[in-house]
Amino acid sequence: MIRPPGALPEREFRSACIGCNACVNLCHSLKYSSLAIAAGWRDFGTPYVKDMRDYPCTLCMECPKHCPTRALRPIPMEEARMGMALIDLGLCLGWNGDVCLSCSKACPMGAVIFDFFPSDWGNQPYINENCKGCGLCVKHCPVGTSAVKVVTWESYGRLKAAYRSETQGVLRMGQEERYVWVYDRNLPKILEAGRIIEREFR
Amino acid sequence: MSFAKFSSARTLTALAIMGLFLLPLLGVKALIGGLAGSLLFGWVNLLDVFAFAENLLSSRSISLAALYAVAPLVLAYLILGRVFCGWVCPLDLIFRGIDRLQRRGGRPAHPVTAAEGVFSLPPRPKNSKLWRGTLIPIGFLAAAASAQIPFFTVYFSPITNFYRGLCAGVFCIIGLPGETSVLMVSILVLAAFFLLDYFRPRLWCRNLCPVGRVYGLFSRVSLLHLELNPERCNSCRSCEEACYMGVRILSPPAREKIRDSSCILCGRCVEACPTQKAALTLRFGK
Repeated sequence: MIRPPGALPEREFRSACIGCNACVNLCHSLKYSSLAIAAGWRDFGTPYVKDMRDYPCTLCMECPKHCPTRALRPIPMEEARMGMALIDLGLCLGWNGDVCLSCSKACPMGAVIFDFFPSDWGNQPYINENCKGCGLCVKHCPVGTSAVKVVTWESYGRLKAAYRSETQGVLRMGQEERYVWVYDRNLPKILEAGRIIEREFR
Repeated sequence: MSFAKFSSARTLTALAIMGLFLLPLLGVKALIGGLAGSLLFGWVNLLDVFAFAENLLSSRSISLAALYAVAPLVLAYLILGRVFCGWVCPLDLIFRGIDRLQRRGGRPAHPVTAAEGVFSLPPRPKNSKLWRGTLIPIGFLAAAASAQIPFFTVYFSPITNFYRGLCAGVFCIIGLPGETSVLMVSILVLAAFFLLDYFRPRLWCRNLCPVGRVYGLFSRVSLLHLELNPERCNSCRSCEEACYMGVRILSPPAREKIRDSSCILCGRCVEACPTQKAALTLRFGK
């Protein structure tokens, strides 16, 4: 569950949040509408960023400024730690022979967060651990189901080793192996993702 | 002075505050949040006093922001007493609707007070069961302190559930990210309160509600209070019958200034008083 920016660690957040929904309504009145009210038994009534594909957090940092109980601390956006964005290397256009850059252009932090490995196989973007987890890259990814996913820091801790080794494996691939990886494995997946109409245009 | 004024003024105030809370859903920054905690005109935070106490115990820390948020309300209620229950709380508005329903169905609106007899004036002791209501806020506070989750305000509080339900409902209608189950839970919780009120009118407000219980403490010392003029009073007990909070307005020893923790300063007793020059008035002062 991705909390609003400036949230206390999960347990402390649960004890401090009174579920008044000031942040949810504030976000909505600012026309971002990225916060939703959680419905789980444990998290009932607390705010979280539900749909990053359509309503990412813009890191405007208004909700932590106005939280009446300081379950959200007022911090500059550079210190926000909402989550960690992971690029699905198999879906990302930049890792599969294109120069896309959509995610890095959407990112409010830019060069602090994005590392690039330019090669013959595209301008391969890599998101490092300075990521704020706002999800703007998720929204602006042109791939059908979005090649970027934001995960909580807890699950990132679990995924970290596997993700790193996968990235290094792809970077170390030889030309032939990489050709098979891109054309036989990934491009059909990307085309399939493009067919999934998941955005509703109102 | 026509005395139905209080009832209509209360309806208008409650509706106006509800409107202020609904405006942010249309994109206007008026009063953002709910009655537990809110942001007034994008400028000052407000925090319900019971929610503050629960938050204090569950988070086991005190923050300056929460103090700043609770201070304006504490000041306001030190002056105005328990007006929250009579003038602000949306449940009061709905419970009044339920009262009307019951009167149409031929049931006495307030069987608890009506059954006690209108014309007899025995010296009655203070409501001895009242202390039981105190156990509820203390129980919730203890639960919040031990489990470190503000249970009442997050899960049960009708005022949080009311505005959460409105917010979730509007989000569902206009297709924003939200959970339908939040709306369902809010509706269920509120329905439980309405059912309770239908079968035991105002039992929640009188004896059970922890939020009102805390505001009752302010009612004991507030500047705004009820004043009885014993010379004009003809002891008809219309006021006590009209009072749905069960305040012993006339019980001996006759008090001139009535500062009861149950009194929500709604003015129903003033409206009900049949004397030409009202024996009862709402007054500011020591």
